[in-house]
Amino acid sequence: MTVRNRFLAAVGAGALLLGASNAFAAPEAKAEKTAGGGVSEQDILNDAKTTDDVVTYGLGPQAQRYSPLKAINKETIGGLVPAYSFSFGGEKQRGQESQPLVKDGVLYVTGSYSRIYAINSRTGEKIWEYNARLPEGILPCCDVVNRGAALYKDKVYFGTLDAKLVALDAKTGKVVWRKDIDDFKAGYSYTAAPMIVKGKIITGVSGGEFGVVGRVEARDAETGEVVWKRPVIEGHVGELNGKPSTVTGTVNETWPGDMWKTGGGATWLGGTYDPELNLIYFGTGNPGPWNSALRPGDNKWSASRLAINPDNGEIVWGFQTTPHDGWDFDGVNEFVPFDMQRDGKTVKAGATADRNGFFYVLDRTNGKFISAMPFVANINWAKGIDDNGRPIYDDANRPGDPAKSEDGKKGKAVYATPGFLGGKNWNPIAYSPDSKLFYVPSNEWGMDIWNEPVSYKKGAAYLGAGFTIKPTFDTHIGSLKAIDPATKKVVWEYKNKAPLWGGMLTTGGNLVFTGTPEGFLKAFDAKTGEEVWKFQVGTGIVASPITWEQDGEQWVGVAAGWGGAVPLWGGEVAKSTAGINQGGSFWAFKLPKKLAAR
Amino acid sequence: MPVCTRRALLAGLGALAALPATARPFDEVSASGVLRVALYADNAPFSDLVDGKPAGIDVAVAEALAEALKLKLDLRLVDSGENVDGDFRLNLWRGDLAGTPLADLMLHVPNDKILGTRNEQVFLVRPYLEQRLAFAWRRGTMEGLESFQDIEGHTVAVESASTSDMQLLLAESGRYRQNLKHFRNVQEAARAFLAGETQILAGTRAAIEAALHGSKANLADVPVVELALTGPIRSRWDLGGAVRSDSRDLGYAVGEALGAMVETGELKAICARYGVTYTAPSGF
Repeated sequence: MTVRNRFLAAVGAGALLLGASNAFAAPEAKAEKTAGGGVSEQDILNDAKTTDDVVTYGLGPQAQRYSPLKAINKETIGGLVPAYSFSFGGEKQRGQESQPLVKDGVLYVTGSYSRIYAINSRTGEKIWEYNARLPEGILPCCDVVNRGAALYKDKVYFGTLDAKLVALDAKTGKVVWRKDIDDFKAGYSYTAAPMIVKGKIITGVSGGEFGVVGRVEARDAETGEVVWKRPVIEGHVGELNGKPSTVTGTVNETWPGDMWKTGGGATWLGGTYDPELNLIYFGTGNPGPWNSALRPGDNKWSASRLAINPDNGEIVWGFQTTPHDGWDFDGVNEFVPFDMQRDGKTVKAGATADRNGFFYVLDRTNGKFISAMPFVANINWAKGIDDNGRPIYDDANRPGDPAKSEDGKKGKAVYATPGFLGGKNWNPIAYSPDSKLFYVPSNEWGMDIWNEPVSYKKGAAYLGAGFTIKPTFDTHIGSLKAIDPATKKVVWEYKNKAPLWGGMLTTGGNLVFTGTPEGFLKAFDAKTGEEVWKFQVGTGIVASPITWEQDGEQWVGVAAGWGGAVPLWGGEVAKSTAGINQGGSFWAFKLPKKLAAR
Repeated sequence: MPVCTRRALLAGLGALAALPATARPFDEVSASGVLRVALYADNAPFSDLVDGKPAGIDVAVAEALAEALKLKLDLRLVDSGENVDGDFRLNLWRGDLAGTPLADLMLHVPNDKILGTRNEQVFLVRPYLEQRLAFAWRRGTMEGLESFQDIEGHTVAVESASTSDMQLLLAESGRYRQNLKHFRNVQEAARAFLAGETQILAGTRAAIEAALHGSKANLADVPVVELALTGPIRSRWDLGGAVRSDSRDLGYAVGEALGAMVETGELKAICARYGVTYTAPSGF
């Protein structure tokens, strides 16, 4: 801002109208100068290679979260310094899980409670803010978080806690259109970052309770009109161009009676995309009702990864990580396409670190199982994964059949590892094509789980579950692991006292970045795991960092603000996160040129 | 638990954006002249929107209560959350994300000691009626419905995830799972039953009786029965009210008024308007 504008912004209410328009004019004008045509299809497809912008969730449609930038590396990182901190303002600080986007000098970052900000990416000055008005009686699941926005042409898109998808003018923050993803009153919500594929905006559904059936939807990004819908539970009919399309699976193949009608499978975390194969990859949530004794069968396609044709919404393949789930092992975790060298050949593979504690590598062309390995300690719900990718269950560690518990009694508790928050939760993994390693933010914990007879819903008796989550080790819960997908080996591990809830970033500078609940943004040597840098942001980090280049300098950015699911749990886990302060801000760091040249 | 767990998470949610107005002790409620009551939406025949207006047994009870306490009724229908514990939190002691003012009283609250003990922020008001699980069956389509075994060979319309649904899904290790037809609510289930799509309708006695009462069915053709079944799902429970724990005196006043309504037969008369057989809770 110029001195004049600064003065105007500071004058009293009488001059505010005049002053405000001028105060905001400066950064906006700057953005306009370089904005050009906004974000093109090509910008999205090339996002992993173009270092001066980040226009997709995941730094590229494949979401490898890898940037080739190498100015910041083990040698230079000592000079990485904060450039600015931007506050999300007010009292709404908790739960900042957003991955920012940067394009043409403007940084877009969503905040908790369904807010989004455009700020000057060089100075941190606010250009505009959009604050969704949330209705009364809203019951969002999963805290008040938002995980990020999408950019396409002249618009920026994000979803809100009341299950609406909003398209805003990227320059002004004014609403272009707003569409219901679903009815928030029925328990739907939206917290994921939407994805743009070939001019369509792709979303799943968040939250909900028993009765909600997950689906993936594509809308025309210009108008918001639905192009196709794909329900993920067998028996449900999809939609294409306003007409019924095909049935998902075959009715009653893996579900008893008509229980598929309310089968669950919420697609609440969003997807990835492989332009080469023209396939969208989406994970699906666990089946309902929670107790598996009520729904014998594999319950497809709950707790699965699906490959979907983005043009028509047809399922090309499915792979179920936890058939007949009984532990709340949501299958929503991201599936990351990568090319794997094996026996001198390049395999078109994809990997996913599942809630159930196993790291899977699949053939991404057809969903065929390649390998699986446990990535957390003491897994006991399954003895392993067989040659077809199916778990070898340990029935002693499946929560009991409530029919077998005595009248009014608690029922047998089982201790299962991982706990229902998963070996890995929502926070995304990264893959470096340099080190050929995956970086997986995992957590070492298990749970006691039992049928809870004193449970009521809407004033009526209900079959509830009781559960307590417990750390596996005394020393730590969080465990960042570097995994070699070809050899199924953990190459290095960084242990963190508190659970890891932030996403990963890896760079051409041979670094891995992630944040901790203790409030440190940390950098590690990508090959050895040596911690080479840390910075305290004053509150817990539960978001995914990004890096970009501007004015010949490499920048790193991350949202900070303790929240998400972990602080909502008490008991042993709470001990590891006691004393973490609230906060809500976006932090930008840069390596000044003169230091880079040193 | 599954998807639901994430909603349950809100139980521990810390600082909320806007601090809602707190629930109030009786003297404050009296001074304001208004009793704020939260009832479940979509919960016929107890509380539901009929032609855009709240109607039902609990609505009538709330109106009678306000009158007995000489207060103006501020009634709101709220969506049910993951569990009643969560509803207490949203409606009575912490509030929602949007900063909606708290209610002074919730009705339709299961009067269960364990539920009360684990929710120290609320005080349970004495029960005013008993809920029972029941079945309706259609004469002429089956010989009779005297035990669960009689379900064999027939289909049952039931609300998804309701108490009756859980009971039927679990009965005899899932023997009747294939016989169930699931619907969004009891009304839709009742419509399917009355249209002849199923031979049996399952639900609470109140919901079944109200649905039959509201239809043109000849009640002699569709007897309502209760079947005994052991298992983890209880087939009867008492309903009362709940206030915030610092508003016990309001709770006692409400309890007294409810007790009077039981004794004078007013509750029975309210239920009868909906075709529902009134069952007093144990202790009356």
